[in-house]
Amino acid sequence: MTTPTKPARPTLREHIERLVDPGSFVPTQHFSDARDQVMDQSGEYDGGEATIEGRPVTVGLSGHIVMRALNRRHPYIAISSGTGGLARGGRRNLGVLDTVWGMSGGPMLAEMASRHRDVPVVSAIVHHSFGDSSFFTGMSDYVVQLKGACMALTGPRVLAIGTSEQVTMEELGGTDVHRRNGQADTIAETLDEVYAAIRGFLSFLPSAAGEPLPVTEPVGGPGSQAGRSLDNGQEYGAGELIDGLFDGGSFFELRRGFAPSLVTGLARLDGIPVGVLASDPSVDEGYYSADACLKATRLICTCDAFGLPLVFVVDSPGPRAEQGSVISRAMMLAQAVQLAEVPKCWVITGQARGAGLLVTGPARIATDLVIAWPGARAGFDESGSSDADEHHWAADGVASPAGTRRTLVTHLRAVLGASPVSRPGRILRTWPVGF
Amino acid sequence: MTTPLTDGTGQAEVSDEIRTVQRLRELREHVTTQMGGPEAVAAIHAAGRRTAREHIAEFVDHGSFGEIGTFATFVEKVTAPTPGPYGGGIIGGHATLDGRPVTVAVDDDSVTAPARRSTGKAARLYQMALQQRRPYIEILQGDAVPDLGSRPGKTGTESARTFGAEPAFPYLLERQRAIPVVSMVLGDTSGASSFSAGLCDFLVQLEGTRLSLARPAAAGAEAAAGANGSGTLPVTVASGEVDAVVGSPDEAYAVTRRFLSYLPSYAGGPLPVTDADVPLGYDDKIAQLVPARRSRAYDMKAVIRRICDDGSFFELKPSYARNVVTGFGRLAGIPVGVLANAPMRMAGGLTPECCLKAVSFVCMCDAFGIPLLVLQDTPGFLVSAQAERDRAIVRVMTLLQALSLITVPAVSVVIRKAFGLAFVILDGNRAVDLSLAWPGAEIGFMDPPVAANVLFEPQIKQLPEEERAAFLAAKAAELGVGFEPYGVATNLTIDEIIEPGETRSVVAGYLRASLASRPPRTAPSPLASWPRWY
Repeated sequence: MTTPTKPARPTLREHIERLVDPGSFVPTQHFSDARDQVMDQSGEYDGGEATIEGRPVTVGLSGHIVMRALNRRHPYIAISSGTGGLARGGRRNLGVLDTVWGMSGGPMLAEMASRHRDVPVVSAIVHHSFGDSSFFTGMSDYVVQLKGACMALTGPRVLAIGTSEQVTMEELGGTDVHRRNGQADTIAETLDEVYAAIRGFLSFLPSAAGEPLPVTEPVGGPGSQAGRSLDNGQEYGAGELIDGLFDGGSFFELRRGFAPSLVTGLARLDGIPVGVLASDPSVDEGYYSADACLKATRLICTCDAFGLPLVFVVDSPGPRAEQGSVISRAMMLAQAVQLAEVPKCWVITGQARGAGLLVTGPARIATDLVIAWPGARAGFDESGSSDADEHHWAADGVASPAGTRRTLVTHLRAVLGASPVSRPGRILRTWPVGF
Repeated sequence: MTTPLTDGTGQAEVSDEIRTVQRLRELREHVTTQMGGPEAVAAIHAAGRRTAREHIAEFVDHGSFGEIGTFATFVEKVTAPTPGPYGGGIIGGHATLDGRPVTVAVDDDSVTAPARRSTGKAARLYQMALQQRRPYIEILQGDAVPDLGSRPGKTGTESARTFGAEPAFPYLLERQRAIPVVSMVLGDTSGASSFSAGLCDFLVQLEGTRLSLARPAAAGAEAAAGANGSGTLPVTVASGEVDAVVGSPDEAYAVTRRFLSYLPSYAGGPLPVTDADVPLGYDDKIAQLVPARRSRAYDMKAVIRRICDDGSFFELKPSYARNVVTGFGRLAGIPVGVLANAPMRMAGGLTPECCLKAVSFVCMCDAFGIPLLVLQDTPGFLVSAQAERDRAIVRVMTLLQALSLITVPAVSVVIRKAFGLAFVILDGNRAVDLSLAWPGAEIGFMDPPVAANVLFEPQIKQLPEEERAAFLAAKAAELGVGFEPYGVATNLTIDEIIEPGETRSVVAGYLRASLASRPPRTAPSPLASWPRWY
């Protein structure tokens, strides 16, 4: 175990220039309200417009210019590399109103709270972040945290003074904490990984809800290749299944290390961006924990809001009953699946029981597809099970492992059309952003 | 009660019409008395429990029950006059509760487990309640297995309405709180019977019962682990899912009646306003309930009871995250949802669990158009390494998101202290439409002594040790002056500073005016679709 070294601290401008397309950054010359003008004199505040892979984005310190992105309908990237507004406000002897209202970026938070996921919002924690810098992550669709940086409501110093609790930055809000509780979608070892993660995440999403899906050209012929081939009669872990179903190297995992019995992320199917939820029978038999339900629900909401189809790969015995009560979390997940309006595909590779069943069970709409592998079994528990190949339950068809990818691609091409525009759902976009 | 059958001719031979009615009566008598068979009914009675029909008889207004689906059954074909067991595993229909229409569906645990909930009857009853726009109430007491093998259709095993084109299960998944749903757990419950517990507005659990998603056999040894096993009350209460714990079925009926008495029959429906003539005079006692010193604890529920109409306060989840109090009350007869800090617990500081409790409550109130009354006395969100591990950031921001989306009239009163982000979220982000403060309130970004310590750390470090305490105290006092409510009143962050004794009349007056002047809601609140617990 090496002690994490103190992260090097590039300026905000340097972060931005390393993140966006070279030469594309245009700094915002003036900020829209008086508070920002005061703050800007510190030199800490920076931000403006740029492009990533040719698509416009707004980048700023925490959330301070998020309104520009919301109004222009393109992604916002918050780089959080500072302390909270409390210390800033206090140092500047702002009035009572400003220290309360301004410290939390009040108007910004209120706008964010009713954003309805109209544009993608990303937070990067590249240095210790407390107060408004950390608050903003709780409203973001994606959070990447740099190893060595701390993310917490408030810092160890305030804790020590206010509550006498002595903790290090790592213990309070380091990457290990947020890997385990799922508040960081990606943990990055280096700054370059942070920038690559932001670019990677945004590459799957439309610039705003309702804009075209960023479908990439199929690579190498009529259909891009999966990362591996799948054979009959083999048992696969989630990683192998994902490699076998989606475009080679396209999988972008989210919240790795949090509820690992369910692997979630974004990927491409013949160039089409999709959300992936794959149970991993090699971890805790693929059981759904309460945390797994939270993990799944966040991704379903994000995909539904931005029009990305969902692909569930199911091999799970259901909810983990001994974890106290999971009823509400399992029902929340079932509700999210039911209320999602994007095309949904299920691949039942093994057993689908309990919560696994809830995810496959709800009434389907015309754009949905259920594929069972030979020998797949479904039922609430052992007593209620039946074989897929007996056609006792409502799979649309049985597909061989090798043929599954083709079936999925054909289906999605058919329901999305030639140049797919994202069709956001109407309900889940207003659901909580963080789970 | 039954009208004697006669064709009025006085002749011994009855007509065909009478015979068909006679047959119906005999069948109905048979079905309703036999249920799953005399042995099964006797076993329920021997266990000191009630059958599904007995629950209904005791629960709803006397004589108001009109049964639906009496003859629903899961046997393949009705071949004899006495097939059975009938009922489809659910006994249900329409009735009134305190004169208001409701629909009830009760697990019939006199039939064998695989038979339960396999006819889609609960779904049918819910659908009728939704169409008629009245509350839907389930009594859960079954280990029901959804039968995945069945195909959609009308009745019978081969054609049971389960998963498929017209599924039994998702009937509540899309409810979006269009009508109130109550679930009472009055017997051991799992499987399909447990689903509504995760989707309802009000969850009641009887002491000694188990409520779990998986069946005990599937759950393994843990389920049989005794008092703290999966689904037992200690577990479901600690998870925050249960709203009310009861000691008897009668108590369950009573709390359900009480709960529904505050809600409209459907989202968007008129609020059940009662006793509009209750006095709203000056309360010269309420100020004495709150000690001036911010470190002294007091009972916030006593304050709530004085602000609300006499005896109207009804607390929800009283044993969970007790640093916040949630419940219904009435002001001048108007139902309100009360969300209050409780300084008796951790000085009223807010934990991630408190946020969860508050969000769940705010969603329900907003969905049903019940105005909110927020009473603040909090040092803010409690910060600790544990809170961060418990996803404090996300929980706190979700509370902000929920309060930013409310559509109901909302009034906030700062009773004593309101610091930092907690004030911003509960009040300062303009989520509420009327911000009030008592004259002794302190409003600022942080508890003044802590704030002084944090803000003036560089200066403190330069001072000799013996001068530091005095310096800190002086700086804290300086900051404290700025925390008086007159500061935030200058720029309308607080709309008005009121006397404690006026609270009741000012809030009631505002709510009365709101009900009279606000246009009816045309679209459902976004919060209506939020999960009951996340």
